[in-house]
Amino acid sequence: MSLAERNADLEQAIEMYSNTLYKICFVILKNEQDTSDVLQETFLTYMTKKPDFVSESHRKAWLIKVSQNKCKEFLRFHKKHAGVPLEDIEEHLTITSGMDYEDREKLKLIWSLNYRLKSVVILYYVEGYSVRETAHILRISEGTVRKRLQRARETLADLEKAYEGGVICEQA
Amino acid sequence: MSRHDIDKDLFDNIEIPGHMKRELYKNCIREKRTSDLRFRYAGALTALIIVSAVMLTGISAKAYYETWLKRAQSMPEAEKEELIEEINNDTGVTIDDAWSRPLTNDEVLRIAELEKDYYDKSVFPTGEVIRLDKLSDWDGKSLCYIEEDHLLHLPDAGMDDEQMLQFIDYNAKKEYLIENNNGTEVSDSSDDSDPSGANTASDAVLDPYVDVDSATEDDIIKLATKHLNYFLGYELSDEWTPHVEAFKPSAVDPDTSSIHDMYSIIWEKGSSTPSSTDYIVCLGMDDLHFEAAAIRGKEHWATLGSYTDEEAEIKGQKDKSKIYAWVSKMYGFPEKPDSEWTEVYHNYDDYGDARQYRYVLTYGDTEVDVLWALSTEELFSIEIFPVDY
Repeated sequence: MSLAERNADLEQAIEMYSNTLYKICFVILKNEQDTSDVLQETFLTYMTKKPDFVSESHRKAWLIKVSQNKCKEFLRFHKKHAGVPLEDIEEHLTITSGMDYEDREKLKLIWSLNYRLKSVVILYYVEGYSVRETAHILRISEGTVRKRLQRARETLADLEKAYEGGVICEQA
Repeated sequence: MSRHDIDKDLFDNIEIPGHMKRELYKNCIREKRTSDLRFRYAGALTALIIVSAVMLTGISAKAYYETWLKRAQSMPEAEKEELIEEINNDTGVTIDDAWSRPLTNDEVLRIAELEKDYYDKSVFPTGEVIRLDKLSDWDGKSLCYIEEDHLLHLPDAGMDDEQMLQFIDYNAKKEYLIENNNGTEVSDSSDDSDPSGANTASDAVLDPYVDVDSATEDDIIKLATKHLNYFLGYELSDEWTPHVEAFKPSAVDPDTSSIHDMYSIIWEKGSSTPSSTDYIVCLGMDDLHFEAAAIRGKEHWATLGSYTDEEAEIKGQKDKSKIYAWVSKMYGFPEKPDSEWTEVYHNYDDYGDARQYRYVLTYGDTEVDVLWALSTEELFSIEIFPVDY
């Protein structure tokens, strides 16, 4: 692959997936600077070790897996920036613009989950991956995914009786 | 059976800012690393670590290191191309993922020994890794890269010394190529809009490090040694040599708080190689307060007993009171934390092979992050930071 091709490929990958990765990493890391660092390291890894992907979904899953590993590493070792309370960043980000009070409260609850629970929640609920796909991306067992989803639901329910507030809603 | 769903619309408003997208692209094509501490260790920076170790271990080691470097630099083009292709086909996140099976404990320990001979005494393999197209052609006994599945296949019966040296050589060369941009020259973009001048990975990595004068270094080592002895419960022998790294991100980025500036004091025995054990103590740069102590390296990890995730969870929970007692007795915290979370910790990504358990304990505005070796019931690492660090 020539340098021009490599750069074009990188640009396309950033265009297609940076928003998804940003969303996932931001919810986990809770601040923009660390999210930016993790994304940069993720795309650098992509550029230097780019594997052959069998499909776009494979490429997306690979990028998510790498970014999740880097988030985990980050939370484990870095602690560079504090997790910023949602209130402090509302003015600077568009995250909560247009959100009503109830939704902001819901977001805060999810924000407050620990990494293990949050990473599973966001892949399963937000990105729509199945239990099996989530397990594969995070390299944990399907049983662990189910347990963490259950714990996330319980934690959210415990936190200010989230069911009643509508943070999580029953789905057939 | 019903399932509960979280309202995914909640996250719709989280969007990457346009400027960040542009910065990402710009920084990536320049192969600019983030200047953060842990990422410094995360990549294939073995060469830098080896260089620092060589600086400590004298002229002869330096000569041997230069011999190794010449070996990497003079790799035949054909071999280089093969390795670059393998790197590009690597579907794993790390090079470790590119092997057909995990290394056994015995292999890790022997490889740690052989790595020292490889880097310090120029003990190289006589042969090299075999390359085959199809897995069906492999005899199961040799160390062999298979094109079909893009994996380095390790003999099921275990590797002998020659194969382990081939394994070390193979991975060292891959690391070397990754560090050197897969063998391709990075275009010189030192022109314009990068005021830091940090155009290469190495530049970006080294930027936050500052020199320590020798008088200060002696004092720092003395203090750190006290912390290490306390953490370990014994003293290291004279074979372990300490050196100080001063990480000062505030010096290069005025927006970064000096709270993150720290000294890392690292003890190594001879040269530091990819698998070797070392010990580290981190002190805050402002008032030399204790921040962390840890044992690192695959070599040490391989000596620990292995548990399944379920066993580790049970044992980890059972040991919790011991952790409370340790943290209270050794570091003066209350008998019980205000809050906590725990997990089975997987170092080196070997799921189903748990050896450590992690406790994150919050006491007021302080967080204590502990890794506990399950089989030996010893602290593996402890980090103490303000919650809002």
